[in-house]
Amino acid sequence: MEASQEFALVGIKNEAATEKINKPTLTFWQSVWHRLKKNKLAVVSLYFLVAVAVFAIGSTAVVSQSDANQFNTNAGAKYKSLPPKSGLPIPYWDGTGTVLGSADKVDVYEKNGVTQNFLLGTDNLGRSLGKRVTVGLRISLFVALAATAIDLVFGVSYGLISGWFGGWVDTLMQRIIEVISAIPTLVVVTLLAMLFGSGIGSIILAIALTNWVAMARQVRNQTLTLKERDFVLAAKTLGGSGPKIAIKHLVPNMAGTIIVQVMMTIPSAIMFEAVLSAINLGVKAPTASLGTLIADAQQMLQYYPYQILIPATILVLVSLAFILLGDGLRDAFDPKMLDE
Amino acid sequence: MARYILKRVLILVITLWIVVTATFFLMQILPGTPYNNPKLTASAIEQLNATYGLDKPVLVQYWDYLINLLHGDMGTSFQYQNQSVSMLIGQRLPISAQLGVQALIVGVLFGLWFGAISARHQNQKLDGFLGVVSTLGISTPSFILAIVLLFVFGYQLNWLPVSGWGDSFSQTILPTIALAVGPAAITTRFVRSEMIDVLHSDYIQLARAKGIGEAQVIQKHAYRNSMIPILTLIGPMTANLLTGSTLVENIFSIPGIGQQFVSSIPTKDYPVIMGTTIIYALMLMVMILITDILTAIVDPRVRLN
Amino acid sequence: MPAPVLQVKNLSVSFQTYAGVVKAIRGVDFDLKKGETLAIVGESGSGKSVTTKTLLGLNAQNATVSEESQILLGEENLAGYEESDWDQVRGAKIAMVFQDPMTSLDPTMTIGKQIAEPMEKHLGMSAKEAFAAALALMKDVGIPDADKHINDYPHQWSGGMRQRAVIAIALAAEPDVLIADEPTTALDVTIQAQIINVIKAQQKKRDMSVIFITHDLGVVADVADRVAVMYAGKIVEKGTVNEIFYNPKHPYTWGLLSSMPTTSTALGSLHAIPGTPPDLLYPPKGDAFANRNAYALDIDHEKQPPFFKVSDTHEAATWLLDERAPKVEPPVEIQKRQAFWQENFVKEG
Repeated sequence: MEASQEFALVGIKNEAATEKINKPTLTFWQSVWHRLKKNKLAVVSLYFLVAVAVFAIGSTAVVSQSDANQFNTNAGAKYKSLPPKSGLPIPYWDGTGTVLGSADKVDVYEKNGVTQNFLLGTDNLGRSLGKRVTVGLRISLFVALAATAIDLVFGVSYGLISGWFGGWVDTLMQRIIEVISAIPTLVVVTLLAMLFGSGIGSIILAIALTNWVAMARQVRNQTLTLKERDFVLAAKTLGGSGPKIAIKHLVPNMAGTIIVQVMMTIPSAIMFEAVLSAINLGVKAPTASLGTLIADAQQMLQYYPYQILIPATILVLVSLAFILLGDGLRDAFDPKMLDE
Repeated sequence: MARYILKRVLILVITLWIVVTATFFLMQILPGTPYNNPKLTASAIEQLNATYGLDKPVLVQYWDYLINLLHGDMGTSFQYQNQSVSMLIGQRLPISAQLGVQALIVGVLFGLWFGAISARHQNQKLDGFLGVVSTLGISTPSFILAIVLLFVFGYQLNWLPVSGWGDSFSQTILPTIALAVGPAAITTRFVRSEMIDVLHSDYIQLARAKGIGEAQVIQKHAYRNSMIPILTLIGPMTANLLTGSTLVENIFSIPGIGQQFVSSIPTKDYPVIMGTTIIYALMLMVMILITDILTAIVDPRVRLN
Repeated sequence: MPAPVLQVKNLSVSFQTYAGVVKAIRGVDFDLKKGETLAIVGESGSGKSVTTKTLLGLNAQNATVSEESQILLGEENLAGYEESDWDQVRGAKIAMVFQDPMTSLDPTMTIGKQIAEPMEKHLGMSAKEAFAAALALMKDVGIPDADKHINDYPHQWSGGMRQRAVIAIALAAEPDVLIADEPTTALDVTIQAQIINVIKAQQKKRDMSVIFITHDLGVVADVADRVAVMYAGKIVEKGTVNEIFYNPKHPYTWGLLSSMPTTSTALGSLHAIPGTPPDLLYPPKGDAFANRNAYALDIDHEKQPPFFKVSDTHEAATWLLDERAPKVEPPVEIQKRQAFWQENFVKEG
């Protein structure tokens, strides 16, 4: 009885199961996030950058640029170049340092009669380095983000136009890029900064006009590949107009490339701001940026290294986070990584 | 091959001409005058303009500049009077070139080594460590690294000299390291990803199936194939190196063209700025041309046309 | 009956992936006699390529061969080999022809050198001797003007010529077993026959055993002595080429044969197998094919079928062969084949 039932011809029992797709369906961005989450460094970088952004914006309520610029001309000597002091007995963070003319380590705060603790010390005009770095970070990020935003618009448009139209337009536009790349970026940014004069706006413009080439190249290459794809041909056959197809179908498909490129452009812009400051073409004193803080403290490196190491460390950490996040995103956008 | 090189040289000359033209007219519209000395009288300025040929029409000046450039004459420095720009650059170029070449060689060699190690230990601890270090190397601008090296090895430890050039080889060590870290980091990352691609390729699988041993597979097949694309990196790395060396030379007081370029900015020494720009562009383009020719020689797939 | 050159017993291979353990090969048995050709047939993902890569120890690092698995090459059990042990097997005893000749040659090494490499390693030849031997071998596999082209690089050659070079590399160290992993899939139809003929000719000349991996039943009919049909990491049916083609027993084999066009196929009578293979992350408890099988018994859904012997050389893993199972009528196409079998083979035997 039982055996005969076991051997009954039943055929396909659960038809739906055979056609079932075994992976849960995720939207494009969900699956990117899913893959990005596996890269711990990228996730840590993302959280770090969010924290930096919150700090940079949130601190506007507490520290303004003019706060950070003010110094007491009369008590300058008293507050001048105080080392970082945490108020806790932590080595190298207890306000001790050498005073000019003697090799002994003393608590400089005690010696100068300063009651206030400067967590990051003070600069050579007696201004709180903590405040200077806070506003400096804000300016540097603003310059970098603004320059990158211009790059984004300009580079993407340039790449799209060059790749989409092809032919002589492409050839001409690529020749222009070749000429620009023949000059080292430092020289380009220097010449542009000299041309535009000082001021944050001109610095942003000088950096933006130097940095867009990489974006334009990436977008052009993507455009060349994508425009041969079936979905673009389909859109063309359906009578869509060129620019419309380019914006509606191409740009979303290269979102990954563009985002990764942005992640690489921002640290480069941060660096160029610092470079411009180092050759005296940066933001004008007393405005602080990470670059000017580094440049200003360079003469005092031997005696007050913290004045340079603090802004330099912040600059490197922010750049590092952008690059690590960019790396993580590049992998997350890569469909080849899907099953790993 | 000869035709290809000829064609490339022709393109190089045209590009250089465009760079010269663009820089020349840019210099014309730049604000400010080179005469910063307030004691100069109007007649003195006029006289100076006449000596430098600045009183002629712009197009004539441009033509003169081009003709002179063909003879290797890039005008006279405003800053160092009576010194020709060609001579200034000529004295300093070997110093910058030595520093740059040292940094490039050190950087690329370490990059090849670390990249290969990283790829062969893919996703292991060593790979992760090298990955973070090389990313850190990319995120640290060479002038910041120069400052840190200067502070640690120069001021704190007193191991190495902190400035100057030409007295001893030890003077070149810190600036070379400062400049080499960038290329090393870029090469490490590039070699790693190239080599991982190669190690997963069909031809490596076939080489393994031959039973010649993993060491042979790596040496004879994987290295060669993953090293060739590195050549394409040399061009962009040279560009970065030129940028970096400008500031690094300044920090270590090295009398190279970078330092000269930086010092000519506040003094608005336009002939020097122009001359340096042209030399930089020429070096970069020659470097790219050389690497392209090298690639064609070592990679049988590249057809020259 | 000659002793088998290669015996594979209870081979199981699993892959550690992010999503979990994929059981790609689930207990495969077969043997290979001297000079014969065994075709392993199956759709993509059935585990045929993993099986052959396991025979060369070439699986990815996340692969594990189970402890009970045995790959007997003579007295040696390759299943327990360490990476360093494999080098004396690869090329020298078992060699492989890869699928895509466009990507399987090193682009930066001359073809002559690539062929000479295994000779130097396994046959102890000097570079000079190996070069001469490589030239002879290139002529042997039908590369025209071999002496002119021995120093060419792969990109200078067509796909068909490159595949001849790949075959020459595989033959270079005179292996006992040649694995051809879909060697014609990436080639033009006109070239396919040439490549198959090269392999057949070399096999005859060297009295070599060949494992031919393919999903193309036309190729199987042309080259194979025996056939193993794989599905979802298991062999479901194996037998001589005639047994499989004209007296198939497993419904999956029926499906495969019905989906193959022949010159006598009536218009519109090509059949497709419904559904997709199971996910080997979660292999089904019964016959893996049950859910695509119109002839599935209730027990097929519940319990793995054992092998039922049809003849000395023919066995199939389907409960349909159990004595308790009802008689089923195979598809018309298969009935025709079985009729042909009755007429031409049974009477004589």
